[in-house]
Amino acid sequence: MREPAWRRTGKTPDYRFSLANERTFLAWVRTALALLAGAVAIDQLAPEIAPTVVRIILCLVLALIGASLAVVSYRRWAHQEQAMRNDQELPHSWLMLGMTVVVSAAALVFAILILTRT
Amino acid sequence: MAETTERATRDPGLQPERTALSWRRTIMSIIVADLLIWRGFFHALTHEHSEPGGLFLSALPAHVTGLGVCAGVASLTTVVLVCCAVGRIKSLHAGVDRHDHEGGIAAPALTLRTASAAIVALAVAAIFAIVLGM
Repeated sequence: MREPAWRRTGKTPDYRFSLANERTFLAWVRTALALLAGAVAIDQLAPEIAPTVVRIILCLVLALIGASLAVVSYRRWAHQEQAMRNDQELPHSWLMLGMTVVVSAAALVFAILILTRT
Repeated sequence: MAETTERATRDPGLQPERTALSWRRTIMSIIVADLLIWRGFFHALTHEHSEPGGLFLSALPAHVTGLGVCAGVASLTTVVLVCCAVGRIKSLHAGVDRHDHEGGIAAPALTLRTASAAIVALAVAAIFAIVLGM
C-alpha cells in the first residue's frame, strides 16, 4: 500500500517535528490502552463496585472511548503532519478538552461508587 | 553544522532514541491489556470448568470458548503492534539521514494506521471479554 496522497504535497518538515508528532501519537495510543486495560481490570478485579449492569455499562463506555481514541490519535497525527508539510497553523483539536472531561468524569463516577459501596 | 562529514547522524536532542523508547513503552502498555484479557479467560476456565480434560474446546461452555477467542485476538493485536514497533525502532536506529523514502525518518502512515487498527481490534476483544465475563 502506498503512502497517502498528502505525503506528496508540500515539503518534508524537519524530522524532529515529525518525530515529536509521532511521540504524541504514541502517548495518545498509550492513553487508549490504559482506558482499555482499566475497563477490563475494573470488570475483573472489582466485581462488587456496582450492580452488574452498571459495572458492565461503565466498563463498555471506557473501552469504547479507548477504541475511538485510537482512531482519533491517528487522524490527529495525520492532520498535524499535513499542516506541517503545508506550512499551515497546527489544527485546533478538542481532543485534550474532551479527554480531560472524560478522565474527570470517570474519576468522579468511580469515586462516588467506591464511597457509596455497601 | 560543521560536523556533517563524520557524525551527521547524531542528534543532540536524541529524538530518534526518545521516539524508540516511546514505542517500547507502548509495547509494555499493550502487553498489560493483553494479559488482563488472558486472565479473564483463565479465571473462567478454572472457576467454571474444573473437570479434567477440559482443555478441549468442544467440552467448554460457549462463553468460556468466547473468552478464549478474545484472548487469542488480543495476543494477535499485540503481535501486530510489536511488529510495527520493531520495524519503527529499527529504522529509527538506522540514523537520521539514511532513509530513502520521501518522508525521511518520519513514520510511514501505514505503520501508524496499522498500530491504530490493532488498538481498535484489541478494544473489540476487550468489549467482548467484558460482555462474556458477565
